[in-house]
Amino acid sequence: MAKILLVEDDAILVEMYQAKFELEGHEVHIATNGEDCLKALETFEPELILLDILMPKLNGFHVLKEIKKQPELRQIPVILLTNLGQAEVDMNQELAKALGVNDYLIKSHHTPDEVVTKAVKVLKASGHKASQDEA
Amino acid sequence: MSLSEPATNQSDMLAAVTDALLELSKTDSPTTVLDVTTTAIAKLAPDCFASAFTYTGSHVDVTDEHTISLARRGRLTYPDRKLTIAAWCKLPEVTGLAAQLGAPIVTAFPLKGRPEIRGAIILWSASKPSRELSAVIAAIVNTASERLGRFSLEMSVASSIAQTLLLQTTTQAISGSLNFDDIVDTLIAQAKKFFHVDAVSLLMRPDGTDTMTIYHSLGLSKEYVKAVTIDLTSPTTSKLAAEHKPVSITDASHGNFLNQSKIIADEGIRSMLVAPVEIDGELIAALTMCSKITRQFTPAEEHFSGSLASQAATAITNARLHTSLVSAARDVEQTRNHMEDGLLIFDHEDRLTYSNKPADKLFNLTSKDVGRIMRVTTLAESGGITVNIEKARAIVALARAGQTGRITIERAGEDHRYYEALFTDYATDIPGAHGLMVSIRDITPMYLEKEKLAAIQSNILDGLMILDENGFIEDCNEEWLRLFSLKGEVHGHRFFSELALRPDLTFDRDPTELIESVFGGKRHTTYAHTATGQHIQLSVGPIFTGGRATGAIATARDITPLVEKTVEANEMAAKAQRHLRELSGLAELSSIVGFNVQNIYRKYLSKISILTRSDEVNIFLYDPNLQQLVCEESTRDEKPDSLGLDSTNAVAHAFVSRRGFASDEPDESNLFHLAMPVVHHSKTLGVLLVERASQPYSDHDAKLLRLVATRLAVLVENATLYHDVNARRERWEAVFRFTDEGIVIFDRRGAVVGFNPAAAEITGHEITDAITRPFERVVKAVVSEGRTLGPSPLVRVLTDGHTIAKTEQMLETRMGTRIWTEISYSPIFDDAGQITSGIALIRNVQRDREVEAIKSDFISIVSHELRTPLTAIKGFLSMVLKHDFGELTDKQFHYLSRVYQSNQRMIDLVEDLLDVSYIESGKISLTINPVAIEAIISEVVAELGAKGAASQIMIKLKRRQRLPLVLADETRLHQILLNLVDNAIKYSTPGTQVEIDCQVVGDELVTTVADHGVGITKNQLDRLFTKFGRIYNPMSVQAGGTGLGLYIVKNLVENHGGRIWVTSQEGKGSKFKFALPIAKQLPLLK
Repeated sequence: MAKILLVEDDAILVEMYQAKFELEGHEVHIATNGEDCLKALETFEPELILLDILMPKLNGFHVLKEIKKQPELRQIPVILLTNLGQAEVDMNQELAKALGVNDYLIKSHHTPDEVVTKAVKVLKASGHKASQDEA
Repeated sequence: MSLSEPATNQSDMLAAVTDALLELSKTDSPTTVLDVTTTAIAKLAPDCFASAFTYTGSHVDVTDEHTISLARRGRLTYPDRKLTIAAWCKLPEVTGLAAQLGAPIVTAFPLKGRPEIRGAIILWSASKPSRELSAVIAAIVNTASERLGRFSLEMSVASSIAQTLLLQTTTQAISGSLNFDDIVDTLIAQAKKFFHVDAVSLLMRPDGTDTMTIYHSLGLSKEYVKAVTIDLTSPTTSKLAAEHKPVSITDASHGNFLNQSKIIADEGIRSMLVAPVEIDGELIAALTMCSKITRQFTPAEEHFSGSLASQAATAITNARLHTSLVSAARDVEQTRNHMEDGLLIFDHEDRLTYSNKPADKLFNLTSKDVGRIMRVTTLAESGGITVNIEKARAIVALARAGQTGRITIERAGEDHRYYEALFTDYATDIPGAHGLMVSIRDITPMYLEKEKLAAIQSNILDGLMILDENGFIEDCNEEWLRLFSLKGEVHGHRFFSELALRPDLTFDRDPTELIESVFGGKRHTTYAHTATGQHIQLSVGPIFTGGRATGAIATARDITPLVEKTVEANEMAAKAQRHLRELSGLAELSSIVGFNVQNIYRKYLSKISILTRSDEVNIFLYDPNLQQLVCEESTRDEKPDSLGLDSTNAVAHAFVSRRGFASDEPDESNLFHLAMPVVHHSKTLGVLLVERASQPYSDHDAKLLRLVATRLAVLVENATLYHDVNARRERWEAVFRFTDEGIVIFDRRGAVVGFNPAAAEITGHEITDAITRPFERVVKAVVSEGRTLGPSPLVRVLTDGHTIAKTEQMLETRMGTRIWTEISYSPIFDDAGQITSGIALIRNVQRDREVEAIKSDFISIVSHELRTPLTAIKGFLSMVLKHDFGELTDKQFHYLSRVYQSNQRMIDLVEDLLDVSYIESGKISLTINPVAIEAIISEVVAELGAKGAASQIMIKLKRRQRLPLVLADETRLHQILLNLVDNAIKYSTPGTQVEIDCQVVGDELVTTVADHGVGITKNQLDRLFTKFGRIYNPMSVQAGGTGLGLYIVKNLVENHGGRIWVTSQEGKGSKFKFALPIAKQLPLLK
């Protein structure tokens, strides 16, 4: 059981990932664009951020840069979720790594189940108690 | 007579013969001889008929009375005195008579004579006479022949006597009388008597006429005498006159004799003998003897008539002489008494018989002197006169010999005078004795004129000649003689018709014709040329006396030096003229310029034709493609054929040998040739061929043509170059004008000198605007902020000679818009390797860039927007299938699984398409690290193990050894292997294995993925790695896939610096192999 911030502009995907993560017993908070995300983070402290890249107003990388700037947010693990192509992923991977991304997933390659699995893995790695407990 | 008693026996025969011979000896005329002979034969052969045929003149007289029919006809005309005995027997009269008499056998006995036979005794008999009879008759006929011969001789002797007597009579008549008519009377009477003719007449031809009339005749009617006028110009008469001898006419009535046949017939004249009377070959009269019976005049008679004619001629001459003498004596007497000229007459003994007053005065003679013997010397000794005695003597001698001579006598004194004495023969009264007549004329005025003339003659340098009235040389000077190389006595010769006709002299005008014209009153100047090369100018004019040309004067001058000088001058002038013409011709040729070669060729043809005086001119040029000499232009209507180089023709010869070639002999068309190669530097371009009929070509012609050929060569070469350059320029200009690339040419200072429309399009500058402006101002580069401007490309190109290939450069156009371009620079060198200018090629890549950006965005958008719904489908379905939302029926599960699979395929397809897009746009970027391939293989096997198992296919990894790390992008290597293994499973036959094997080969690691499936046909192999090179095989439909997998794999492998290939056996399976570089050092470092 973890608190997760899902940053995603596509309503259907929000519904899908929210359904799965809630099915698995996680608390899912939603932001539909980059600005929303940063706003939400002012009041909500998630244990994991699922961050889309292509979004209106502020894209995923800008959001990530902002998060990494703030010390209180810097520790929150981030999984980049995107539907950009592999080549773009390849191009952005370095940047992603430099920005301290915990994982980088192409949405269409993975079922929500797999995304959950990855998320749990990241949470464990970041020393999430609940996950460890569960394990 | 033949019918007398026959001689029955031999004694009778003998008696008859004896009687006959005795009778013959007593005969006194030819007639009795023949009578006796025929009578004797009749006695001997009483059953035979005999007759005698004898020649008289050109006829045969038949004497025997038995042959009445023949005798009645009088004569047979067989003039041939050489008739043989056989011929006699065959005469038609003889054989005709044989038929009449009923005595068919004809025997002839010749009456022999000398030189021809006199006739024959013909015997007609019923049977052939016996030999004895023949012999006896022959003996009698022989005797008769002899007897006839004797009569003939006697007759000719008698005739000669008669002739002599007649001639004597006539001669006596002529010499004894001066009366012409008396002589004619005698002559005619005598002739009539001698010739036994009916009439004799003398026809006379009055002086200066061409007719003859009867002067006197005997035996002719007065009408006849009056009527006869003979026209001497008529053809028959002139033919007779041309004979110059007597002519006898047997049948004067026959034909139109002398055009007088009617008159002759009226008078009953049958035969004539005409003897011409001639004096000095001129017909002046004719003596005619006319017979009223037809008769043949014998040659002797003809001859004698000639003698009579001569007598007549003498008589006529004498008569004339007499007449003229009488009148002359009268004239002389009158002249003597009235003449101013002196006259002296000497007899044959040099006795002075006459002297008139002027002569007396001149020679101081008195009446006492007449009758004195006076020699020329005596006269010369008389006071005060000078004469050349020697010459005088010679002239006297000449005069006595019948020739006239002149001598000049000079009388000194106050009244100095000159006389000319003319010495002529003077007939004295005494026959055969010649005297001398001297007439003396005062020629003082003439002499003085002559003196002047002589002075002129001797003083003028020109040759001078004076001709008398008849064209004889009267006088000429030394120079004349010298000029015409005349030697000896020329006086009395005709210069123009004799001396000038020598072979060593030629006249511009026919000399005979010339002198005729001069005597016709005209003056002429002509030129004579000697064999030694002298040229003489000859002027001839008439000398008029009383309006009549009585002589001619000619002057001659040696104008050889003048002629030579003139000829020389003319030659030089002609030469100069020709040179001038040639020079101007060459100059004109030089002025022919331009690049329209056909035009030039035509101009050349006409000029060359004039320059070399050729009939035909042809220009041949070598065509390297045809390897032939092709006639480019010709003055001929039809161009000559092209020639191979191996041709024996002069043209080919000149081309190959590169030398002019002139023919010495004309060809079959009678033309001489001159072929001249057209050479430019060391290159033979063709041949000029000139032809003419007049004469062979000289060295000078060849020289001239060579000059022309040289000039032509330059023109041809220039024209060729021009056309080459032009063609190149045109091609270049087409490129320049129509290319999309902007072309800017700049000079060494960087100023624009060339600017094409594309450049204008790109930069926005008008062409006229751009030219001469600095390159940087026209092609304005935009330098991004913060970047330093490197050395100007122009400097690098123009100074360093660098070539700058395709550099991207942003330009600012004239309108201020910025565009991306790709510019290449290159220097332009001249022949010497010096940089003269530069060129810049500008390509507008702005649009390419924009397209690229759009494409890139498109891919991103597509990928994102496609994936999002696919992700939703995939996510929800996966949850449904995991029963997250409750249980499913089997069917629901099955079909939703199918939807899931289809969605997954769609995701894969999008993925592949994106990969292809990245690959093709070159945007794929690999993160190369040393990678352990085994781990990745394991992952792939794990991933696909379930799929393989579902198709009863086992994936087997062959492990040989520890594998080295390879240099690869982990994700991509995973993708490569996943693709290949997935394919292998798809195309494998169920129950088989898919084997994965890795092997180190050199510094590469070769990974093999082998299957045991359908295999790949050879055709399919070629398309295997291409886009959508999907293999349609029995299993392909269920195999699915996008057809892009292997294309992506191949590109990924190659992007790693590796290789991929395939081997396959249809029905047995395929082996896909790829090689990747081994990371050698890095493992150690690790």
